[in-house]
Amino acid sequence: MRPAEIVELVNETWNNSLTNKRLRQLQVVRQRVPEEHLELFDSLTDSKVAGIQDDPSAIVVILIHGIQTDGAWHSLVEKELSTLPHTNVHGLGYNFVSALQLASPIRSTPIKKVTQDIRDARSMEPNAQFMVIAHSFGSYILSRILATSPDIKFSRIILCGCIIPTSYRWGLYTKEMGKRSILNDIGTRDFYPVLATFSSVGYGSSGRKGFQTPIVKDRYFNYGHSDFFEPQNNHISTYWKPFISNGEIVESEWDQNKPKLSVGTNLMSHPWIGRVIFFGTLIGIGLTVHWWNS
Amino acid sequence: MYAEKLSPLIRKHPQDAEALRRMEKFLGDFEARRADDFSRIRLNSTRMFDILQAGSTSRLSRIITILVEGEVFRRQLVVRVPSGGGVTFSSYSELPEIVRDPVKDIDVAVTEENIEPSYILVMNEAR
Repeated sequence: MRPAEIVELVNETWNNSLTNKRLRQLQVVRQRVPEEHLELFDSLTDSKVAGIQDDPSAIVVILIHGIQTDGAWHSLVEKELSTLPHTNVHGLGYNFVSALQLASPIRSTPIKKVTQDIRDARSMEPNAQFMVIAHSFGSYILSRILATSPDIKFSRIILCGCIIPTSYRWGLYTKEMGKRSILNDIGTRDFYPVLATFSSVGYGSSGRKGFQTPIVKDRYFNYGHSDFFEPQNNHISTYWKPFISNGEIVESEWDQNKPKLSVGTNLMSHPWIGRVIFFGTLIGIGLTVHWWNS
Repeated sequence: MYAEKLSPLIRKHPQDAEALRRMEKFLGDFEARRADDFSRIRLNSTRMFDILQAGSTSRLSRIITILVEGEVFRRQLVVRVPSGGGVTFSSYSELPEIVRDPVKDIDVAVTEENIEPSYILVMNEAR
């Protein structure tokens, strides 16, 4: 049994029993609970008996990492955001994703895993506001979850090193979200979103060019792909914490000073032109090598 | 200092480290100010919720699980009887259907209405 199932078991038993029978019913159900979860079962029962209610201002922050960082940044974010009252941070992981899997269109395994984890977190804290921070491939996972699982909703979203296509239909998948609830933090030295765009399908350069749509606030920094987590940048405390806490968006000075995208980067980050150039070059090299050898 | 018992738990549970630090601070401050009363600390679920700033019952339960399994606190279930006293149990599995109120000499049904879950410190009780 997962902890989320224990929570559901206690809630269901409590809600579906007559007041004068609840304790007996809980004692019966308790006998079926694996030993490693007995203490959690008892603690949940304590809360029910004591009449504790969830705080409506409670926040759950979901973290979804990419394939390069492997979630090492989760602990930094946990440490910083957990100082906020009533805030619970869940770093979600998934098994190793190879570069081949990343490039191929078969990417459903990590998406399914993260979807289930989010549903578990939601069933544990049904009244909390859910927010998410997604980096790199994690942003792609998030985009697929929002598009395919309408039961999963967030009140705020932070993207960084984002590889979601720039044409993503935010308006369709995040209808319930308020204005200025989606932040896209962009590193202007980040080449990975461009690489992901021209070398595969399903990705985009939003982590380099921005979404450039009123629904998403693009915010630029003089960063590489994972510099958001470098301690010297204080990015988490300066830019993410106020947003998670009360929705405040701290402007970046780099927004005004960022360099223009070069023509080459612009071409390569185009969803079709970039791929034509890249795969055309690969085929050209292959043909040249073949001609040379023969 | 008793609060030092939480240090290994804070290291072991980074996701709940901040909430555990709040409990560490509460116990440390209490012990520093009222050392004589310290061993008699008894916290109910509501107080735990406030100290830990848990936000939700499931998170509160998860952190209490850490504290109980880490032998910082242990559970006491007090069944209140009409005469004002109470009968204490340590687990839900031990709760009988009826307890005796010795003062009024009556049987009292055990229900959610007359149970008070609380947590006391795990002192070195063998000494």
